[in-house]
Amino acid sequence: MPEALASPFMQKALMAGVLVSLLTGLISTFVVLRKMSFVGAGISHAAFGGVAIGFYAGFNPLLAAVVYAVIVAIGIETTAKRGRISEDVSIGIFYSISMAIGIALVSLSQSYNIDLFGYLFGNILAITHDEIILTLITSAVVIAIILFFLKELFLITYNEELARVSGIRVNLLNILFLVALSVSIVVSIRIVGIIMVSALLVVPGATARLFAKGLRSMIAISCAAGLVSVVAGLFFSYQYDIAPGAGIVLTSAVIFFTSLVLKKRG
Amino acid sequence: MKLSRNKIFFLGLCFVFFLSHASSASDTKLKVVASIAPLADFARQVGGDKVVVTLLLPPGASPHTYEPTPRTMQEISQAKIFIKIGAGLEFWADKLVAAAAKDVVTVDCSRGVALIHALDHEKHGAGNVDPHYWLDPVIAIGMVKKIEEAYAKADPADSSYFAQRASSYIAVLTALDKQIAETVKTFRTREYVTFHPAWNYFSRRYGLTVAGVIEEGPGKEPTARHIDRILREIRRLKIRVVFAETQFSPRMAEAIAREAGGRVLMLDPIGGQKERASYIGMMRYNLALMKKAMG
Repeated sequence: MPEALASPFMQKALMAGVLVSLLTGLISTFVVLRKMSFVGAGISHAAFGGVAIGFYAGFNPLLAAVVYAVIVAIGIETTAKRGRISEDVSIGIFYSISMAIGIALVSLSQSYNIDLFGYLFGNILAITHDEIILTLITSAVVIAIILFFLKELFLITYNEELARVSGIRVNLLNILFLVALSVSIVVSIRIVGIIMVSALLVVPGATARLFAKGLRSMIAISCAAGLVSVVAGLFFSYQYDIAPGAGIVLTSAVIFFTSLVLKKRG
Repeated sequence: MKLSRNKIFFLGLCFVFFLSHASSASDTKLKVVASIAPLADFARQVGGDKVVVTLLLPPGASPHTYEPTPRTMQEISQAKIFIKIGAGLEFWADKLVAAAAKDVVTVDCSRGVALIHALDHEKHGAGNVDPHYWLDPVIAIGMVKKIEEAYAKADPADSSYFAQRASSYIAVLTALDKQIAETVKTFRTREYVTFHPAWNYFSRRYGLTVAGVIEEGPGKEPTARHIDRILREIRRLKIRVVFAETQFSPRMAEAIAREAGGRVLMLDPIGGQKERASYIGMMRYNLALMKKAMG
């Protein structure tokens, strides 16, 4: 372990990983309770389109991905409502379109040295100092907003009608949560990649749900599960010389299934 | 306006007709498909204005993420000769060519080349053979000869034209070989770190040693332990430069260079664009970068 800690790449990866795990741990609680895990997977795949647009138009791909992911998130909601289709259909439409936009732009740009694999599978070891700062700021802002509206979000999660009747601006808060979700997803893409973002968005919340007594304790357990997954996953990947993204996802899976077995026995 | 079924059918038919006759300007020339840019350059150098060469892999693209467009398939279907590197490099193209062109003659340039068997677990398609032999100009001379033979067989009337063009291009390649050998002699260090295992033939020819490879396989994300090893090598050798390659993202190389206090230079093993459009241009570009790093 000291050898791993001496590695400058591991140090940066740990810093970024801890920040992201706390952010997704919080978001994950709501994703699991509101049954939004497919929305999360849809948005993360859609972000690929945003990344490609950023590359093609020549501005920061992650920033482009955030903006695009927010638009898609809101698009998924409104299309589902207006088009009289269920949300999963709307997600299916949006995320395949976004992936197609991404692939079409890659063909057009005649330059494939876009970090395709980096975005698909994550590349936490190549993270830069600036990206860590950006992660810190976005995590802090998103966490602050969620905690500020915790009561309202809690009520909406358990009973949307009741929340509406008691004067909470449900639609506005729903959009706010979608924005927070999108931002968290794009930040996590750098860590575990588009394909494995679901692990950070779903598994910690699912683990927490097994033990939690209330919303607050669920958030705490979810963050802890995410944190342990990322830190242990990184060391695990160093020890066994495997890709860090996969190490993190597999560790979180082990934590979840171990919890499941323990819970059943207990 | 409401289109009847017949009208739609007619429009569709027009469209298909247009597509199939879109490119029929140069019917008399020998049609050649080359898999990667250096081969396309050899094919043009030897063929002059008697051949039309289609390049399969667009400049800047990596074979590992290649998908053909309909237009490319159309061009392949008219080809008489398909020139390839072989050694498993064209895993992405073999099927296409087989599907699109029925009576195509395949020129496998790897025949007779002393191939290097990859010591690491790098795999380019089938087998563990390193296919990047075109980066050795002496081997490239043999490739040019194979292309000339294939042309002469397909178009015997112009065989002396091809022979003359081939021999004058071989003279250029010989001069390139001499230039590289002399430049490498002046290098302060003979060990270097590359991004992907493409430079083994080049190194073998000119007595260089590849001390480390950042990404051992295409799309194979380097692990923390592996990057640490590379970093230690760079520090041991006191290398100031990490080589990345134009077909891949430089992110990982940049991260390593930041830690090592060096900078990233972009080698190009495929070329096809800008000053690396020709094989000679590409090799001189790479040589100049290596001189900057190791000279």
